Amino acid sequence: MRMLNLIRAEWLKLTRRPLTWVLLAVFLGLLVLQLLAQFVFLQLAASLGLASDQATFGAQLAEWQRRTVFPGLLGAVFGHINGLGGVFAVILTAGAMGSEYSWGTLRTQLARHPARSRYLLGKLATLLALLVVAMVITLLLGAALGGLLGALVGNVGVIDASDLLVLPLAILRALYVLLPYVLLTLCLTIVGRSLLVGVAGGLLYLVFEAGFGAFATFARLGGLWQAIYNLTIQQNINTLVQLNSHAFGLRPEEATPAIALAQLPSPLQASLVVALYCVSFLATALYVFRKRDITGAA
Amino acid sequence: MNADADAILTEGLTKRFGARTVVDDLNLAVRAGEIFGFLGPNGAGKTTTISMLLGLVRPSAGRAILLGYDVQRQPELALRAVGAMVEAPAFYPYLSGRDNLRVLTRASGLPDTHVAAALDLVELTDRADDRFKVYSQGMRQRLGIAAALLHSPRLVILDEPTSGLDPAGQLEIRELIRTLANSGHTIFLCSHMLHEVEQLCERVAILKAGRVIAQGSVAELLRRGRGVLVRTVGNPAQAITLLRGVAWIGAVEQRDDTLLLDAPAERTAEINALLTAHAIPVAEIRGYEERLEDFFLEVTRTEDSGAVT
Repeated sequence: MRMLNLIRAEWLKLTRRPLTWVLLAVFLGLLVLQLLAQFVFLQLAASLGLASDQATFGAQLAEWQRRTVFPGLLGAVFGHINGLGGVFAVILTAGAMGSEYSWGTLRTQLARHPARSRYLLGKLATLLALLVVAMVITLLLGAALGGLLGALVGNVGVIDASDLLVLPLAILRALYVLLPYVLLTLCLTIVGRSLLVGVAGGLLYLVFEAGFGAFATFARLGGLWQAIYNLTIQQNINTLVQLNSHAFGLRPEEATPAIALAQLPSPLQASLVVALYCVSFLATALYVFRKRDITGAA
Repeated sequence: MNADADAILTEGLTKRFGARTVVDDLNLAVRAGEIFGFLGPNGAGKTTTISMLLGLVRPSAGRAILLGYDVQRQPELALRAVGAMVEAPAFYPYLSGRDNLRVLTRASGLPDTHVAAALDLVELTDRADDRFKVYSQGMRQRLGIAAALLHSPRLVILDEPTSGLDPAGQLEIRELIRTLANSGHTIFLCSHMLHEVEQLCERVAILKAGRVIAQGSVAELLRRGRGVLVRTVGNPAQAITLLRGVAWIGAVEQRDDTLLLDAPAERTAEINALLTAHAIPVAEIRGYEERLEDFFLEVTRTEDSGAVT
């Protein structure tokens, strides 16, 4: 009950905050741009008769075709969520926690609710709930826009009950993909007692992780190299993202030869490794948050 | 909790930041139902002490007990009936005053009716729907006090509650504090406005460099500063010798050209007659009463002050 009370309070804070809505608006705007660009490109490619004689480009076009119609459209939206969504989740999380330090409101809150672990878990639960709501809104917008564009050219695709049934699992999977970034940002914000440290740390990690792609070259040597590479967050998240793509009929590995399905960790390993990262980040955040003195506004 | 227990009890409360001791072996006892003044110059350790009382800062040694519960061991029980405003009131700038209070009531599981009542109490209802970021300093103070009183706490800790308020606002808050005390609340008041503390508080503690240098009832502490002030014409040495020989005059203290006598003010005429009879011309003679401000300045200016209790 106390946790529920804290979540209600955090919900009020987050949903009334302009930053939340600005982030959502930008995120949705980028989705609209992506879907429109994809649609226009495919129409141009069709009218110009491109790629009929190029195998790889043809496979890419086929994948993009699948992304514009149901059920692949939903997979494309999940791709947007787990791609750019990480950046937005980092900013949202750092804002929610870091501002408490910079405004000095953490002191006001904790003077009333001294159970710090509960406070932090309540904030985290609210952030995750908000991310789920944002995902649902994103899916609805993506589906509506994709459906509209498909109707314009007379090809909406088909969506059946099995696609709808897999949606909740896909949402949870997408949330699980964002979770390590949310927790890492939360942890860094608490350690640095600052919004800026949280945002910078979270985004730098995302950049650093992209740099990890370079390690993929070594991973191709196999053996230990591959095992090490398969312990990075990114590689395990790739497995989960692929699962969401496949769940809606997409085949990104056909369009992007760099994606070697056989070298991705198994879904079980991916889930466990991501869980391990999440637990580490959360445990560090809780430990530091409980241990540290709470002082005034930064 | 024992009904007779002190509302606040600290035992050897100490806070060190590295090699620097900010609060040193603090022993305080604030009785339930009283208004207790907590004074000290800037940097004396008042806010750190309050932060330790509220469980925000972990003591390096000692313990704090609020309403019968150890703050470190049972923080939720200790702080359940405590309302506090520490330093400048901190709220979410993008939320209205009302929504800021709703955040607190929601988190505590209290109904929203508490919000309206608290806003009424500090006369902020008219501006309750404005965003906190446009509030004046005085309105922020009021909102801070409203937040502290939101859950009808038994112990209220207020750090500079009238800071930023105009004289009328200060008066209102003082009245509010008196009303709260009259209805059984314990008030722990930290203020630089010494006349305010003198008017409101029954007992005070004065902190300097982390140590309590004076603690006791205001009347008790200021009794030392009551007596008769005499200013003679010329060298006062003869007057000092004469007055020290009078049995009912206690200490005779010389401050520049003024003598402060530890004697009843109602015997001022007798002292005047005595001096005149010995041909000592008197330029000024009157009863005097030291204010808390004088006492505060005296004890905090003194280096290595011994504790006055």
